[in-house]
Amino acid sequence: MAENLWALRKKRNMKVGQLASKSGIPAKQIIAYEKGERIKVAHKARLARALFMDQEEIKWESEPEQKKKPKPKPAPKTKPTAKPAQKTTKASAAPKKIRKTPAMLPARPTQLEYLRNLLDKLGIEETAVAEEINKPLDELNQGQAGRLLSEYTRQWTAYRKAHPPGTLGIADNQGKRAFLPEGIDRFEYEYLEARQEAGDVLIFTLFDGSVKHGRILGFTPYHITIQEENGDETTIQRLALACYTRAAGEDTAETEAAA
Amino acid sequence: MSLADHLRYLRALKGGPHIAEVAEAIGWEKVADITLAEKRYRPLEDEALMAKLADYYGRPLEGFVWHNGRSRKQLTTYIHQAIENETPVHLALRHGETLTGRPLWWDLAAVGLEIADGRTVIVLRHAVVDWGDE
Repeated sequence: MAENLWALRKKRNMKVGQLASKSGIPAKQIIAYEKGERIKVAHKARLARALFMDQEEIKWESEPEQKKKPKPKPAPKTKPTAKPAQKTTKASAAPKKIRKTPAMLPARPTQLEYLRNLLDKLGIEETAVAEEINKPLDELNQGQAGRLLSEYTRQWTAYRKAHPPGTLGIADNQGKRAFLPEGIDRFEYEYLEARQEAGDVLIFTLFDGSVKHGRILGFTPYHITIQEENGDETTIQRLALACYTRAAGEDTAETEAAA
Repeated sequence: MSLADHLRYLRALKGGPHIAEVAEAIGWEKVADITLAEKRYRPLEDEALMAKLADYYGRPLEGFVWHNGRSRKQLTTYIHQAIENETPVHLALRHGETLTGRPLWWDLAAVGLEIADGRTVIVLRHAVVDWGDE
């Protein structure tokens, strides 16, 4: 029985953003689908994969979620005209908890570490800053440390803008998060999808060196089901798989088409 | 092959016991530690856990240490740099074959490799035992 997309997402305890990141579909589009827009064929497969379920379990057109109406705010209480005299007992006279503000707490070690790191990058002497604020950095409170961090971060950002990578005396790749795609397996997914649609014969090499030939019938993050040349359907555990490629003839056809 | 992938492989070879069963068998209180050990992208730092797992799977600890030095992150860096520098990579796979080719892309699970005859081979990252010089 197919269910609404939003219901399935919630069953998986996923937020729209998480589903978007796992499926590679923009969050805006997912919201539109959840509100009733018909899901595109290619997107349905991606959503099913991201939600770890079969495509048939997702409704093509979700019924919009009925949001609970917020409870009406209680009417403000009218102030009594005369304040009744309050008896203070020992029990009720418990001391009030004083919430400490950042100005009352010493700076966190991480704040000081970041601050020193920033000063170092900017080439500013710690003693010069200490003179300016009339105290050593170790005596800063959280509020002061926060303000200094903001200030020097601004300076560092401006400095970076003014000095393109390679001129800062640091390696070009420092500070870059170059390896983000590790969270996504879309390339292999797209490859498998394309091969499935084209009906290409693939050669699968397993961990034990054995080889299987066949066309893809379906795949999940954990399995690939193929139809072998003799008509048998085989499901290969991806953990048992070492590599795969198209049969030589199939590749030639693609090369020619591309040419 | 990273230790994380190696651990998953060994657990599958052992018939796929649940992580909780593994934890119980080795007398490890926090099941999550073992789950994380199989998921890590970086080397495992808990040597005691490594030793217990090596004992459980009946493998020498040296082998685990060897795999621990080949984390997923390191493989990623190797492939990523090869793509940026347009240099070939050499990947030794678990079944004994070594593939050499130009990496086209990589992601969580696999690497797309263009080999000498122009074909694209999809190499499952968990099958890559070692990499680097031919």
